[in-house]
Amino acid sequence: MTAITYLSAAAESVGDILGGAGMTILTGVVVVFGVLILLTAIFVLFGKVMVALKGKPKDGPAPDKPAPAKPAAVSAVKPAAPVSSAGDSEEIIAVISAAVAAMSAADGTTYAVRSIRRADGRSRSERPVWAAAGLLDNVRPF
Amino acid sequence: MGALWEAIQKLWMESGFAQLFNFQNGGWKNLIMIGIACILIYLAIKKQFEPLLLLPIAFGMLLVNLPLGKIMDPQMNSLVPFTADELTHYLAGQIDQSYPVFTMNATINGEVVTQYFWQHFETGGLMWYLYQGVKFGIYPPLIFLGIGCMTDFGPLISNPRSFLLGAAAQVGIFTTFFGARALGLTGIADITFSNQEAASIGIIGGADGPTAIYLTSKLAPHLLGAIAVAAYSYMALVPIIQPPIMRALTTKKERSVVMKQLRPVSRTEKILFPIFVTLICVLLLPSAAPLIGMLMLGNLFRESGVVERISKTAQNELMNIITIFLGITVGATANAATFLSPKTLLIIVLGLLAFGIGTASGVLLGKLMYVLTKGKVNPLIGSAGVSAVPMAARVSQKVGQQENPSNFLLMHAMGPNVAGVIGSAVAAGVLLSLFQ
Repeated sequence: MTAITYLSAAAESVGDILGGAGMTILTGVVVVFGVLILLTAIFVLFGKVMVALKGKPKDGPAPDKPAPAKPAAVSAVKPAAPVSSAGDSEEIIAVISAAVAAMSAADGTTYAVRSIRRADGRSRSERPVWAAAGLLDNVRPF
Repeated sequence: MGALWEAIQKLWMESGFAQLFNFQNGGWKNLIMIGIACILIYLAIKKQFEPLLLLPIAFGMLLVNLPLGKIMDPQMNSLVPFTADELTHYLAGQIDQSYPVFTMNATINGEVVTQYFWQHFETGGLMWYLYQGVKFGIYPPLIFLGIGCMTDFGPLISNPRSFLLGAAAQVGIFTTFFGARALGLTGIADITFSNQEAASIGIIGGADGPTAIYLTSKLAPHLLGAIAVAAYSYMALVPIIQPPIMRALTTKKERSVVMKQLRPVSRTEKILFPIFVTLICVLLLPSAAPLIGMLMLGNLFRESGVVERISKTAQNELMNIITIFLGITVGATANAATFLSPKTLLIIVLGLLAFGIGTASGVLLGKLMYVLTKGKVNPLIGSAGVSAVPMAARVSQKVGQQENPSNFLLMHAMGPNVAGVIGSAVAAGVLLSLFQ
C-alpha cells in the first residue's frame, strides 16, 4: 500500500532538489552495479566449475563440437560393420551413422550402430513411417 | 428547405470537424496531434522506425485525437441525486426507473433521512479497456516473456564480465534523472519534473521499450505517450546516435582489438542461468520481480527444450497480440492536452541525452576493461550495453568492422547487449522502489 504523501506548500529548495537527485544517482548506480557485479562473480565462478567438470574424462565426444566429432564417430563406427539386412549401399549406412554420431554429439553419450534393418510397413500399420512420426510428434504433449 | 438546412447544420456542429476547427475550445490542438500522428505513421512505414510498435502507437494517437470519438473515455460510475420533483414522483410510484436507484441513510439535524440517487454507468471506450493492461502493468512483463524466449544468453554466460558493461550503460538513466530534476532549479513550474516524472524520463536511457512503459505507467502515466514515442524513436535511431560517440571516445588502436573467441556454453549452464538470475535479482530487488521474472521464465522456456509449443507461442502469437494492444493503447494516451506541452519537448531532448550518456559510459567502462585486461577487450562492445537488442550489438560490429574488416564483434557485443536488458530492468526496479 503506497503511503499517502502530502504536497508541501513551499517550493523545493535548491538543496532539496540537488541533494535528493544526487542521492538517487548514488543509490541507483550502486544498486545496479552491485547486483550485476554479484551476477558477474557468480557466473565467473559458475563458468570455472563447468569448465572443470567438462575437463574430466568423459565417454563421448564434447557436446559442442559436432563437426569434428562426426567424421571421427563415423570412422569409429563403420569398422564395427553394421551390415544392412536389406543390402543397402554403404552410402546409406554412412548417412545413418553420421546422423547417429550427431545425436551422440548433442547428447554426450556414445551410440553404436549394431544393425540396420529395413522397417516393414505392412507388418505394422497402414501408415507410412513419416506420417506415423508426425502423428506421434503432435500427440506427444497429450 | 429551411428545416433540411438546420438539420445539416446541427449534424455539422456535432461532428468531429466542427470540434477540430473550434479555435476557442482548443480543438485545433487535436489538429496538430493528428499531424504528428501522420508524421509518425510515415516514419514507421517509410523509414521503418521500429514499425512494430511505432505504427500502432501512431495510429492510437490518431484515433484518440479525433474529437468526440470517446475511444479512450473511462468507464464512469456516478451517483446523481434525485431532484425534489423526481423524488415525489418516485415515492408515488410514478417514475419509470431509467437508471438503478441507490439509497443511503444520512443523519441530518439529528433526523435519519433516506437519500435517493440515480446510479449512472457509462461504458468506457475501447482503448480505455485495453489500456488497463498497461495501467496494471500486465502487458510489458508479457512482452518480456516473449523477449526471454527469443534471447540467447550464451555470449553473456561465456563472458560474465559483460554484465559490468550492461551496468555501465544504465548510468545514463540516473544522470538524466538528475538533469530532469535539475530543471526544477529554474523555478519555472512548466518545466519542473517531479521525482516520478524524472525517473520515467530517465528510463528512456535504458533503451528498453517495455521497461520504459512499465515504469512510466506506474510512476507518471500522464507522460506515457511522450515517453513511449521518444523511447521507440531513439531505439530506431541507435545506428545514428551511437557511432559518433563511440568514435569520439576511442582510439583507432582500441577499436581494432580482435577479441578471443567465446568458450562454448553447455545446455546445463543455459538452463541454470535464468534460475540463478531470478533468484538473485528478485531476492535483492523485489520490485523488479515482474520484469526479471518474466524475462527469465521466457528464457527458461527456450533453454529447457521441453516446452517447445509454449516457447513458440510466447515468441510469436503472444508477443504479437500484446504488442498490438500495448502499442495502440500507449498511443491513445497521447491526447492533445498532455502531449502538447513544453514538457514533451524536454522529454525528447532529455531522452537523447539519456541515450548518449548511456552509450558513453558503456564505452568508457569498455576502455577501462581494455586497460585492465591489457588490450583483450574491445571498448566498442561497451556501447552495446544500451539494451536495444540486437541493434546496438550490430552497431558495435559495424564500427569495429570499419577499422578492421575481419573483426567480428557481434557475438562479443551480444553479451553486454542482453546484460543491458537485465540491467535496465534492475534500474527500473530501483526507481520503482524509491519512488512508488
